[in-house]
Amino acid sequence: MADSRIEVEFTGPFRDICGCRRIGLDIDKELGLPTLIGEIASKFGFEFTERLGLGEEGYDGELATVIVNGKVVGGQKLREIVLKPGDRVVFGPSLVGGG
Amino acid sequence: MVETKGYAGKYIVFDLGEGKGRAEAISESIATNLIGGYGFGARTLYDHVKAGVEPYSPENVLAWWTGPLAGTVAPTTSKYAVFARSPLTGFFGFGISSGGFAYELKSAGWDGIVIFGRSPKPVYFFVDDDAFGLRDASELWGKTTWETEELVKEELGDDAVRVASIGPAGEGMVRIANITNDRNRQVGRTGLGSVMGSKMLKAMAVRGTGSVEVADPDGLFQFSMELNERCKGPKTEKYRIYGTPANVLVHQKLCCLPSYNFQRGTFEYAEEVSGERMLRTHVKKVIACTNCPIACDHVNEVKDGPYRGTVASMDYESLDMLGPCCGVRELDMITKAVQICDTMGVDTISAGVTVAWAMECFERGILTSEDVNGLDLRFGNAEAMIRALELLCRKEGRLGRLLAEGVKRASGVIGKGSEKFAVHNKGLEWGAYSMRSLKTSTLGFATSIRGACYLRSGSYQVDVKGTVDRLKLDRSRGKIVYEGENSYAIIDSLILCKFIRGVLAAGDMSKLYTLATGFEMTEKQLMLAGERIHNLAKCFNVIHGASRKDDYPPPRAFEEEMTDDGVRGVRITREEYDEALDGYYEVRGWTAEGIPTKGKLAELGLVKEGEGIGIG
Repeated sequence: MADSRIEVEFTGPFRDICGCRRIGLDIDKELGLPTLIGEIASKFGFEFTERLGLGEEGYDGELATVIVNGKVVGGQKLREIVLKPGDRVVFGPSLVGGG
Repeated sequence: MVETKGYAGKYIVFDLGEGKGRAEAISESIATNLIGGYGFGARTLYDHVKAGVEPYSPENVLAWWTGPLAGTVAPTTSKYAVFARSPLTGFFGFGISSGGFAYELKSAGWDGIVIFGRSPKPVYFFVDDDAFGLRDASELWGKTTWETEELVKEELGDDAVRVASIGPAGEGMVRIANITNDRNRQVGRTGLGSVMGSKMLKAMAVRGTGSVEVADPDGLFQFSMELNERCKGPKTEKYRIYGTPANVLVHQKLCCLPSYNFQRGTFEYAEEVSGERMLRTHVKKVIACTNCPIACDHVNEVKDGPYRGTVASMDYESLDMLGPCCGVRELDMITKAVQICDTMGVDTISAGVTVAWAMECFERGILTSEDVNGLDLRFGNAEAMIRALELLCRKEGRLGRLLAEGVKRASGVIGKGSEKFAVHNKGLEWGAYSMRSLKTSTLGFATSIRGACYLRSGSYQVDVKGTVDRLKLDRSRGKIVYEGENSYAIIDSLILCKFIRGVLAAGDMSKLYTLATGFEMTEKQLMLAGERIHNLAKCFNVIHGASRKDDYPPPRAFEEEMTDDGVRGVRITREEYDEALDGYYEVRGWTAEGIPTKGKLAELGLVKEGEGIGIG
């Protein structure tokens, strides 16, 4: 059922690491964002967490952008995020501009 | 003259009308207070371009400056900046380019070149180590930037000569004309290519066979090697592998990808114009600037179809402005559009926004078929966009003449409410960051010295990193923009590529400066210099009429609610913007009208400049 799923989308390096644009995960209860990341890493390899710059403090905003339901998750807020069925998560590169 | 290292210690002053020039020394005081690049440009414009000097008059200067790190081993430092009173904005005109031009100029023994006057005939300027002078460019007039570069090298018999040139657009004084060097690198913004055209100056060519002495060669070498290693790490991977077009899909998810002339923040065909798609289907090669370990320049090639063989360097801004902003989704056509802009010599951002405005005017019935040379100029019609660009670059027909003025003037000519969706600040067309869904970014765009620009403060970063609520504005955002502007003023004065900023730690910029020049400089002193430079440039703008009214985003930001799912109903209120702008002026130490105060200028050692703007 769609209502029990979390939709996870990958762009940039995360798409390359996972080899797909998106996956759906069925959950029957709330899920911490770090737990989701752990599940993705165990499925697609721990390069995923390395590329996020995942550490005790959270993830590295210079490396990646994590978006939950259209809101950017600040690097140090990652461990506070609890996902519910129906949520949409995006893992992408950090946004850059310059030259 | 500067006795220290890093700087060449001298620059060329040349009058095109007289055909003569001289070498001038750079004082130690100027060097340490204004650092280089942006700082030197601010000094030059403030000193020489007085109130009333028209951008296309011989009295406008055209100043070319490098920084104290150019020509050294320090990575990402082969950058130069060009300055003049902008014909597009009437304010501080300023653009930075990369490639190999700056490295060559410093190797020739010069920190910069300040051009005055107007030549009676087409010329190009050639610096050959110590020697410099004009050469006839009659045969080059009318040539594209790519042709010009090749012909100058051929004439000089040296393929290693570095050339910066204008195309037919600059010659014709298209107000959004740029300057191109090394084929794909541009001084893109504020129309400085048309200032070159007004001076009948087709190109600048440089050959340098010397080297730059630095204060601590071993120390600078060691530190540069360390930075090179850092540059090969994950923090610059996005530039090396994906290029800035990797922004497309993340912007899409945040509803801040400008499309349909900024009416929307998402594009239904985003996947088709994404960096991920482009890398698979169009990227032919990746190029590095001189002395850069990052190599970000992704060059596209069209592999089949009517534009087969078309090549163009593609970054996020060009891609969005000539893609989603015009409703165009075909990468072949976007690549062709960028190639037209690069070879004819116009800024892709300004061109894209101006054409997108015309498309909206056409769809709303404000521009008629006759106004647009019979084109079916609807959003998404890529062939019409390409034809409109060709007309713009040559000022051909009614449409070409209109668009060549840039979006502010074009909307002023057309009227009928089209000013409300002319997306610019101070006359400079907005970059590829949505105004309403990145509100700190918008404050930074609108207070920018040169007009709408993401590169003057980088204030979009707090929005896209989730540091602040990007859909709200408050007084505290002023400090974020203030600190970003001061820091970026130093990056643009040293001059470093902004792509290295992610690997720099606190104190690294001052360390680089000290190792190269021998001047002990703390990070705090550098940031103070950044504030000084910004205020000096602001004084220039005040002399030319700038005030609070010039620091606002366009009406669309206030008057139209976003319609994209996720940000539906979002707009900027006048009240929240005024609050944020007040906060910005307060932390800057400026009046509520956005004018630097006597006290602030005195604190920065700019007392004389205060007198110049009537607050002495």
